[in-house]
Amino acid sequence: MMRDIQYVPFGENGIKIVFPNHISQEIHERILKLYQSIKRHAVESITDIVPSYTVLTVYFNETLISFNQMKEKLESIWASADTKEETASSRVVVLPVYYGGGVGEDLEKVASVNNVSAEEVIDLHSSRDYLTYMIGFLPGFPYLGGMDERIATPRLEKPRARVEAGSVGIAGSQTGVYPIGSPGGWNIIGQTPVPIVDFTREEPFLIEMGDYIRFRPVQHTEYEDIKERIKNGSYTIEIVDKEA
Amino acid sequence: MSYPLCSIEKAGILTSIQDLGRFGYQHYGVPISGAMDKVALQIGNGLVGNDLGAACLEVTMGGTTLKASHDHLVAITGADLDAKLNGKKAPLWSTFIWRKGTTLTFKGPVEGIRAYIAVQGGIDSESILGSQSVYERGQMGRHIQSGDQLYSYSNQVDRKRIGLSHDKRPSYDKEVDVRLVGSQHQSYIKKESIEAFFNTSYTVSTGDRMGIQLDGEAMTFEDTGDIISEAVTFGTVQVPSSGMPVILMADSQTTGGYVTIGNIVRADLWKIAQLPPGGKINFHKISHEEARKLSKNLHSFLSSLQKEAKYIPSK
Repeated sequence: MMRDIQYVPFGENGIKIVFPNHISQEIHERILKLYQSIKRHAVESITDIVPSYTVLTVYFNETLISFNQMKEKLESIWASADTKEETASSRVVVLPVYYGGGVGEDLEKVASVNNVSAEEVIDLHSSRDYLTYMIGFLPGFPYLGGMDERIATPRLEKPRARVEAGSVGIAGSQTGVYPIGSPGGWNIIGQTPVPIVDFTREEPFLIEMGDYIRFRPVQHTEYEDIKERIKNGSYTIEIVDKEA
Repeated sequence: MSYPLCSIEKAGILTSIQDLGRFGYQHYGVPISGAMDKVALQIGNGLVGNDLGAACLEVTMGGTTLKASHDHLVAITGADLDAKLNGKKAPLWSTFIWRKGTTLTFKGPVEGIRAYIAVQGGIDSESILGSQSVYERGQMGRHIQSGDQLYSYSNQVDRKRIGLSHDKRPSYDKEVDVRLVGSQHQSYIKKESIEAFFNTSYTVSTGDRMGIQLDGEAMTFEDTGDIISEAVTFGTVQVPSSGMPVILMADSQTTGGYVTIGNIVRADLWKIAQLPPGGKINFHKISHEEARKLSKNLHSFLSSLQKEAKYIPSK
């Protein structure tokens, strides 16, 4: 399994571990496993580890260690991680979502583009768990895989100047949630009151690469209630184990 | 303790608080940020006796007027933006006491485009994820606005009056040679285009803290320039579908879906940060081993500044 990966320099302070060049759950799981074992080893000279679909990038302090020394370290970590049978554990982060209404203005459009009803869009969108392949684009923004093609919808022709934090959207056959307010071209179908990013929280970022996201439809009253409970600190974000 | 530093009479084109940046959060999509010219920032801090990574004010292009709220020991480094103290030429690359009530203005670029104001004790502002660097797009602080009041961790002015000798001061040319470590994507780009990249000059068209758009020989791809998104960082040279290279800067996104030519070596990033629109760049390819040597040399030069200066704890 080790023969299909390559270690290439990324500047003088980075190393890219390049896996086969296609998006798949199998490659994701190998990257996740390597990512978690490098993190566990807590190598002092490593400054950051950035996983993505097919590449794991390790940044290091080049004044302390060379590319070749870092490569050897990573190879030995990988050799011990790869032989272990257990797969990485994953969590499911449950996000309550109020679909449509004033917070999901493109819900009807997504429905009509796909010749289904708004209720069917909500059903199709909330009936499966989405795997977080990577985080990027904006702080905390999860790239999710596995959306139902029956609700795929092209991006807006003209991006909106502002999409609110918590907005749940569809772009092509991808779905995602905006962690912070930003300009954006996704079709917005609803909103979660749960903050994806909160710098005042001990763990500012809610979603990690490898987590599953489950969207749970809620009515307007529950949405408002959760919002209120988040404000006064009495809401606990629902995180459950992924059943094997 | 927090001490009044200065009031902002005119913020200018873009002024923000920056330190060496935010580390360890790129996997959450958080850019490094920090000073665009980290060499000038560290020299400034060395002169005023701070930890080299203390927060400074980054003044871009100028149009900026600041009034001291108290006496402070400061140093201005980086670009010559025609800095004046009550109308008289302000010292650059050396410490001076910025007297209470005195106005410091930055009219506009003479050489380079980003100046740094380092203050003994460091600038006091909110720290988010371990850094005071402002990254507005990510809602981590905001740029300086007219009417703001800034604070510092100290109002001591007991440091020696020192300066950086002329031979050690960086000079900011309008045509720069920068070195680059190649990426694994070069096979996506036509061989002639790679040759053109290293053998012709590119001109800065527009730029901001996220990236600099270049003008010059357009690159052509073997097949496509789109890739599955992977990590990019400060210094990565990306080639979008237009074929015109872009240099990603301090506030760069952490991942990108375009092929890259490589990364500009860390020891040369300051040259790019100080290049005005219209400035020219000649790229040279070097190995990661050579790039590491350059980085270590720069690191030991900056560490020597730290040794000469007595570190004053800032909090």
